[in-house]
Amino acid sequence: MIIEAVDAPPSGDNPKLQKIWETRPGLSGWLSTVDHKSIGIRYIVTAFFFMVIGGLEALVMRVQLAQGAQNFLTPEQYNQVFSMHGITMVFLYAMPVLSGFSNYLWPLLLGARDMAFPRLNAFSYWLYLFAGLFIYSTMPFGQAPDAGWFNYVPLAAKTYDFGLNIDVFTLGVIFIGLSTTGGAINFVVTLMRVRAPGMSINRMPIIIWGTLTASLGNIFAVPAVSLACALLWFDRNLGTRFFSVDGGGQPLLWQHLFWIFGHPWVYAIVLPSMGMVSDALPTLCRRPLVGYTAVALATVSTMVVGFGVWVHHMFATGLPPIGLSFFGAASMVIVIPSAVSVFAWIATIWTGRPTLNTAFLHFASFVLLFVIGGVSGFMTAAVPLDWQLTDTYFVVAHIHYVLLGINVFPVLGGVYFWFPKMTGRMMNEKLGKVGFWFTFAGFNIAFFPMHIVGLLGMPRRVYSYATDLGLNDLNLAITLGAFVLAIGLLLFFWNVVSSARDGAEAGKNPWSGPTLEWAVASPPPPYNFAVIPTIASRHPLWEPYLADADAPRSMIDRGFLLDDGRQTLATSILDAEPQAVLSMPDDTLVPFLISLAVAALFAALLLHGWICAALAMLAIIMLAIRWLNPPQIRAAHGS
Amino acid sequence: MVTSSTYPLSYLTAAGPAARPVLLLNWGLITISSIVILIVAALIIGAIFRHRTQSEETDAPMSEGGATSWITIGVGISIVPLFASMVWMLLVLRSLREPDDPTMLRIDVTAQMFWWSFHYDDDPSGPAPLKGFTTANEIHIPVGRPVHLRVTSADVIHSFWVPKLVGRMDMIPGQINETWLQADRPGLYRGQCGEFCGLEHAGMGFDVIAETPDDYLAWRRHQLEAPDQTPALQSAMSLFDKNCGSCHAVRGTMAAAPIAPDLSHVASRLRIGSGVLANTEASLRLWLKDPDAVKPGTSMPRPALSEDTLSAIISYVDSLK
Repeated sequence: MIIEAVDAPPSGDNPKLQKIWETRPGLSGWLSTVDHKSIGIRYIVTAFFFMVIGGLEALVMRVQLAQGAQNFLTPEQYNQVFSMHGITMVFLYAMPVLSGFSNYLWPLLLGARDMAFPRLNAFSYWLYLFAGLFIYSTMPFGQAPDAGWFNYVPLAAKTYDFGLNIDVFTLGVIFIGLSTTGGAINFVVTLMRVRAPGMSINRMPIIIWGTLTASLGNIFAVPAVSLACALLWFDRNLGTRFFSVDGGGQPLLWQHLFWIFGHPWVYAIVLPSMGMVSDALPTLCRRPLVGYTAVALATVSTMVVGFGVWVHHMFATGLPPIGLSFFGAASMVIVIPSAVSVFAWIATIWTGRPTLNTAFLHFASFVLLFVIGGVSGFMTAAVPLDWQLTDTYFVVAHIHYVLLGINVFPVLGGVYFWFPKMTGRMMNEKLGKVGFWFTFAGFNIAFFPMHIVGLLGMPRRVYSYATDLGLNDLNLAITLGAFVLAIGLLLFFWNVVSSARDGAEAGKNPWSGPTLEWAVASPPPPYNFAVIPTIASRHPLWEPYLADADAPRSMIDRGFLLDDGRQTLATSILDAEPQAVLSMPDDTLVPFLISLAVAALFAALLLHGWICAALAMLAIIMLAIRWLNPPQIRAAHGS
Repeated sequence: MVTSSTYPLSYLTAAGPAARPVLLLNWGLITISSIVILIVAALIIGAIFRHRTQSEETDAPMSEGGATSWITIGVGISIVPLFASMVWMLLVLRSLREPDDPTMLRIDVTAQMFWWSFHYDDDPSGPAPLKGFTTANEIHIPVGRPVHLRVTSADVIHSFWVPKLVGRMDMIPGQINETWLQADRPGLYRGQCGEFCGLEHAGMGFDVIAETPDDYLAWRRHQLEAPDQTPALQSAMSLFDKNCGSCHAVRGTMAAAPIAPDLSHVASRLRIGSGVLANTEASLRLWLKDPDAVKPGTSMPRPALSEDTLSAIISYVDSLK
């Protein structure tokens, strides 16, 4: 079959495509949609829901720690709350919120109609939601995980922690790992297969590089933690001795497996958000990013080096100094790619014409917070210094500068920036700026003094501290800062809700952005692009200003129509030459149902309901067969 | 009388050669870090405000050109302090090697939820050899003499940390880690568990008392003595043996169980409950009435004692100077 390029209708609307791609109305339509835009928004909303829970946990901890020797929480309650705060923010907020942005944006940025595997996409989301609910399921019974998100053995072994607390952790982490792995594979294949013709890899937006790198990282890192959790679950439930000294096991094995995952993961939950800034900040500065190639390579090399630094979480475990020197030096080397990105962002602002709106404020402050979190990380990479700093509040300050600075600030800025695309409405600038300053001030009041209390010797993961340690005043300030930060976030949520209802109309391209998502309506139609665009540069929508007069131009309004059922274009890996027309799956309930069955399987394993587990497994297999035999294929074989 | 500093767990004052080079490195890196933060902050603010004075008539994007020199120059400059710090870090690491000193004091430390057992090895180095002994939650060391520590755990992972004297060394079951410290001046230095270890991680502390070699020798000799056994305390001692002796030990008496902290000369220690209470008669009473209320998660059971028995045991424990 030969397909030809056609012109898109001037309005950009195509009723036939609309009918092919739109989600059916009603509950079953809602549960069965595979539209990446719906899934992306669901990811973001769910992640913020968990962030609010994790934030409330943080506030409860800060009330307890506002002064020394308080009894607002019992030690057991505190241990559950701090563990759940970490687990929630790391597993249920930080990664999923970025998956949400990437899910929403990738096909729009790449000029495709959906992700490569739309059903896997829906499956990843439902797994994430159910894994989150699963991890929280024992909290009402007072048996939430209580050995920290790092969950060191032997404290997490059955001997010392015999409730469901750790079982729900081990199973929950494996559960969410399924979601992460599915999502990561989907991003990698999407990148390789469905970029618009002409979008060679040197023309991809940086967020694509960020998410791609993070996804590859996840594919290699997640198995380590899933293995560790499986072994621990065996130890706790089947009597194996992987981590038990009595049985010839080795407690440090857990730490190695956990941090071989944990450290790359830290980069995985910041590289996509750094990518968001690398795309959005230049738009707001009215110029292309300075040093595109350098920033893309810095992104990749951060991840590569990130796989060789896990031991810096284990400097005090008695490993030989020569090994520690290597890992300390490797950890410091990460400064170099980070510096590349920082100077690229600063140069972009310096040489551009920044628009000082709310999104820009978030991105600009991100650069500063990134540097503060970066240099404190550089300090903890110095092995002998880490022997003093580790397990004090200095490290708490460091991770919050890194995770809030590099994840939350870009995400909030990203919401201000892409909210118009997602909803068709602008967010309120005035409220946004007030919210920003509350967030920024509260963040720094809450977390900067943590460096100081850390240097003054306040251990982390303590439910209380003695009043004679000289730490009361600073801790009170930290608690006040935490509440100011909470007010800032409340204003943000209020802004989202009120702007979604009556924000100003956004139009296609409110920021005059250069990339493909701004070429379609806000919110985009279910099929994204009326015709598949062809790309000739890194900034298709800025070509009138940037490109030479005789340079080839991107074609947004003319391209393949692909309206014979759900279809998108497959292209080659490096140069994005058209190769094939992909037939895309219809909406289906199978991802939702199979996720339910997986949730049932994990619940059965948690409660040792072996027959239920077998039944759930059977259901999963049957649904998987159904998955591999969708109606389109059955129809095709029938005809 | 030894006194504690304003910030007893702060390592911003170092009192010995295993901590001092690290403190210098700390201030060095804080200085470098602060300069970096200030420069970046100035650049960002400058980058934003240099445009305030320019007119903004056009919204058209500017061309891609140039500005990559920012990256080369910026990274080039950053690399200098980076590698300098790396070398400094390695030099500090080397300087922290344990001194080769045959007179080194040797102590084995075993952590458990949520207290510390210290075993002093035999010390043959002085003119009169000293026998080894076990104590808990408080050690005395002579100033100017390195102390070699072999640390391990009897249950979960803990970490040995005396901020003013030495950074952390994890105490891992099934594994013996070695570290060392030395105090250069007399004083009270607090230790604290440096790895989350469960319910009472927060309350797992100990005291290091550095004193002159003579004071230390006197203390060490005293540790080996049996308690005074005045007839008045005989019945109290038998009550102690009966109620407490199946877990605790007091050298030179019937009580010799190694399960809980060794209480030989416990009355001479500064704190009880591995650091949670000052060592007074009132706090001892509070502790014995309900250990779990003072220190949630402690393995010490609540002793069912009559008021008279309690008072007798307290008077006996207070006599163990």
